[in-house]
Amino acid sequence: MKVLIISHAHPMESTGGAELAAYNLFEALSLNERCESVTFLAGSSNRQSQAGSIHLLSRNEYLWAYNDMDWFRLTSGTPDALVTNFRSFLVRMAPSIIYVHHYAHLGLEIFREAKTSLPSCKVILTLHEYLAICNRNGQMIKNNSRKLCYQESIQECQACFPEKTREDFWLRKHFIQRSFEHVDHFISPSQFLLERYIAWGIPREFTSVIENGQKYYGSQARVSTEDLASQNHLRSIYKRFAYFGQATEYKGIEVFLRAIHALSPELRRSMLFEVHCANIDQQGDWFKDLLHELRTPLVREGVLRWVGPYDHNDLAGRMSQIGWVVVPSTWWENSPMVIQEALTNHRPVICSNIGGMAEKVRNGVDGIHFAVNNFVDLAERMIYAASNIDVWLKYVKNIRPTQSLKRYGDDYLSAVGRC
Amino acid sequence: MKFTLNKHGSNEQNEAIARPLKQPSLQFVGDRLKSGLSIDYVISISNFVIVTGWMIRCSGPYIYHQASEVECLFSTTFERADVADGYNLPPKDARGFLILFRCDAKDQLFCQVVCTNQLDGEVIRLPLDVQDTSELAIALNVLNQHISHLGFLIPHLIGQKEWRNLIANVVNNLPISSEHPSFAGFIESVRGIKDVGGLAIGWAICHPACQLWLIGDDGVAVTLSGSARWDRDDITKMYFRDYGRLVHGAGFTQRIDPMGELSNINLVGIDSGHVYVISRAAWKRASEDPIAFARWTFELRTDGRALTDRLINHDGVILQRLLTRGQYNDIYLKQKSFDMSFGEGISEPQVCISIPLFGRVDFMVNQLMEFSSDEYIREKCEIIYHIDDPGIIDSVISKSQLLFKTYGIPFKISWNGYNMGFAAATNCAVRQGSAPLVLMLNSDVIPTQPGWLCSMAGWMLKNEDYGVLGARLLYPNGGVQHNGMTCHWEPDWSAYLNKHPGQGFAPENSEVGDVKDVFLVTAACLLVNRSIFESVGALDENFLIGDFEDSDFCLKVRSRGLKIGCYQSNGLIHLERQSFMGIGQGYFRECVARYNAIIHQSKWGHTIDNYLSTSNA
Repeated sequence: MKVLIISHAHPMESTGGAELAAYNLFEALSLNERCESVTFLAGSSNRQSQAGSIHLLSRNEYLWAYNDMDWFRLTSGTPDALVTNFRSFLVRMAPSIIYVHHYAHLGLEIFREAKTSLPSCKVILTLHEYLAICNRNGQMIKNNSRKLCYQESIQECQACFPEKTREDFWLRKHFIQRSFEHVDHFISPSQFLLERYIAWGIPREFTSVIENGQKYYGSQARVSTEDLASQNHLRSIYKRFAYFGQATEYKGIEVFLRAIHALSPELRRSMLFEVHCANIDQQGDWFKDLLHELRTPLVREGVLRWVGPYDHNDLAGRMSQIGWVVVPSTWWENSPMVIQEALTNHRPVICSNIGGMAEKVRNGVDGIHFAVNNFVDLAERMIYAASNIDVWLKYVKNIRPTQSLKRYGDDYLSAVGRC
Repeated sequence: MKFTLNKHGSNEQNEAIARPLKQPSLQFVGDRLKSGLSIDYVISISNFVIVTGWMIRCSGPYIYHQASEVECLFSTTFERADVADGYNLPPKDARGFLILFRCDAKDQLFCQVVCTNQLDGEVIRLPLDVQDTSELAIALNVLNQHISHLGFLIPHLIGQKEWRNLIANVVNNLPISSEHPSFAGFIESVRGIKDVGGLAIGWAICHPACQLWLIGDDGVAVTLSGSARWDRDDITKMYFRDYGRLVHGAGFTQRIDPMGELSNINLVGIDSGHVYVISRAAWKRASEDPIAFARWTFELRTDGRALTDRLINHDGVILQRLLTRGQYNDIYLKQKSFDMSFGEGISEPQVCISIPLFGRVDFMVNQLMEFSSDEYIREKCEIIYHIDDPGIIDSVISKSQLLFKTYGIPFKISWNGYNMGFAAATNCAVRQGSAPLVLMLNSDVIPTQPGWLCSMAGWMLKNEDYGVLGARLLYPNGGVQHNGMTCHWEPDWSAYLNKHPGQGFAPENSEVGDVKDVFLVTAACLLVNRSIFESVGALDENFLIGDFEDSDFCLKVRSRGLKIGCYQSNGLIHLERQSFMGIGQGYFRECVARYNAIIHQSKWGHTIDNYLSTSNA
């Protein structure tokens, strides 16, 4: 079978969870004997290319240059390219299966176009967050109160965006749902996210849950826990806590910093905290100022290492130096890549007790939940986690193998049978 | 007749008209002057005659035709110091006079006075040489000499065009008296359209014993007693101290009836006959486009009663004239009209779907997306979008080709060169099609299931006793937006308004596909046979922008003895009024609705009365 994988971005340009999941699938299926050919088409914000053009990046990999899309309707910023370049590309590649890992940047019209150009082709969409449900960057958080939102409704959505009418939201949903009608099957990496979409209107019989596949880097990740515990330089590893991810408002990095502040000075000096984060420069001034205010005294005190951005190839190495991965997101999340990466690297997770995080981390088994947005609770959980190495070892031992790339590819191919 | 003179005319004219028309008739006792009568001027224009002169120690004067006294419209006497000085008399013995009377027979007219001295009881009589005045400069001079009486003459003479012109000329040259104990005011805006009319807007305060007029050139003169009035908080605050309760109702709008070329208009106060110009404003040309005119005039916010008055007697009258004289035939605009087809037209279509587009283009996406998945529409219907908004032309054109390529369903777009309003735009779209059935469809009605139009068309063809078939429309939340209409009386508007029974509630459990008999239906989704559409005169284009033309259309159909049905659908979503957001909200919208309600009421008030009384019985 000929497979086309469409991603809203290429990991070369952006390392978000969805594009990594898409690229991992590309790698997994490229090795799969059942696939005659596998092509990867990724959206590209590179302004060197003419918007709408599709061009070869490397063997079997293509970039599709886009213009800014309509983020309300989720329609393409280069609609002409859909019926010209994209249509030609589809006809030329003639895939029998198209896996779409995100429609952001590219536009929802790709589904109809795929079915128009290739009527017998199966289109499978992996849902990565709540963009179709929620106009607030797909986060399902109330615009003013910043409280978690549990379900879409025209009235509540309009209250979040008073500049829009209720009818605008009806038109938005109508357009999205009609576009989704051209999708044969939906995959969600988490049950939690899937349930939100089913409540929103996707029939359950058209859905599956398949966890994102993980790549194993280097040898450190596979070092046994006993080995780790015996290493002198890691003797206090269970007292080391790290945050990995984007430095955005809803990733909860400030909750993590506040929790460190909440610890007594003696206690926190017996522990070590690290922040491995990227894109802080892209945040608003108020948020940058807040982080600066929170981190400066901790760095000065010597309890916080502000490590900065990392390459995914470095991740295993960085995780090997810490005991716990803290995921304090204040929004639902889906299946956060950082949790899968932590578990892949045998690191238990302390995470917020909501959404995809609560689903992916088993509280008291391979990780610890704390009350979302509650830094005092997080501080207490970290005190418990750092109490002795046996606690840490118990959690590490309970970690189950994560989804391998091989299994990931197989699961995706088997989803075709459910179309 | 139109002319312009400087104040009091030129010097030459003054010399020319300084001559009395007749020698005075003087009565002497011995060599002492006892009585006298002199006629200065006899001005006759359009059968209205003004006589001025003076008399010495006499009462009167009186006008006689042969032996009968002529009833004067106005007569006054006043001191003539010049005469008293000239004849060395006490000032009280010499009286000037001015008489106005209407005269159909111009021969054998006399002016008569009665002596009040030693010749007591004797009369002095002078013949009046009444001929139509050709030298209007003389007439103008007489009026200028009698500014203090002009206010008494105006009510009698203003009905005559030539007199109006003379009065306007006098008034135009008067200085502006900004302060007067009996009145104050200001003209804030005056706009008009040649041969149609215009509006003057401003504020004015007036003592009840005085009068206010608007007097302009080219024969424009109207009393403000009939103007629409309302309270102006700013004027109340500023002038209450000086004028007390007279400040209430200071704001005014006054219609000016058809006129030619205008330059100025004056707000004139008349106090004891004396004419004062309170404010003067230059006319501006108003747009001939009724919608643009409405946008201008409805910027003025007034309370409900004043608004009703304006819509019935002032703004609304001009609007109606603009609407009823037909859409314009501006060649320039016509040149800009176009139509474009996307895709191959359907051969022998069964239904013409006519959709006016206003304000928003994004509805096309949702509609065409749905149309493309409906086999009947795809294969049996012609789709015509008529653009009725110059602001979206480029957007519609640029999107249309792409929409056709994306959804693969043929359609046509057209533009007539200007914003026509809902009724005219719909008519325009309908007339571009050829299918025997016509579906009027709002751009903000989005079907969500296929098959509805096939079902409606099939039903319509089988039931010839029905003239119109509407459809049950739902709000996005599933509540009923429309399931037939009736009318209810709105006292504040003095008109029947259309009412949607059950609006907002969950739909009744009727079978999808059933048809319910109703009084009226909305044109948001209305199926009609093309022959009926044309025979009742299509949608009435005299409604402004869009309102009531649907009930008007249904009432026309009903008057032919045909029934109105409402198709029970569960899949037609109406994003009510979303397509009209662009025309403005709030007050403008209310004004448009009120205007249309008044027109609708005048056409159908009695019919609705009868229907309601019958149905209630």
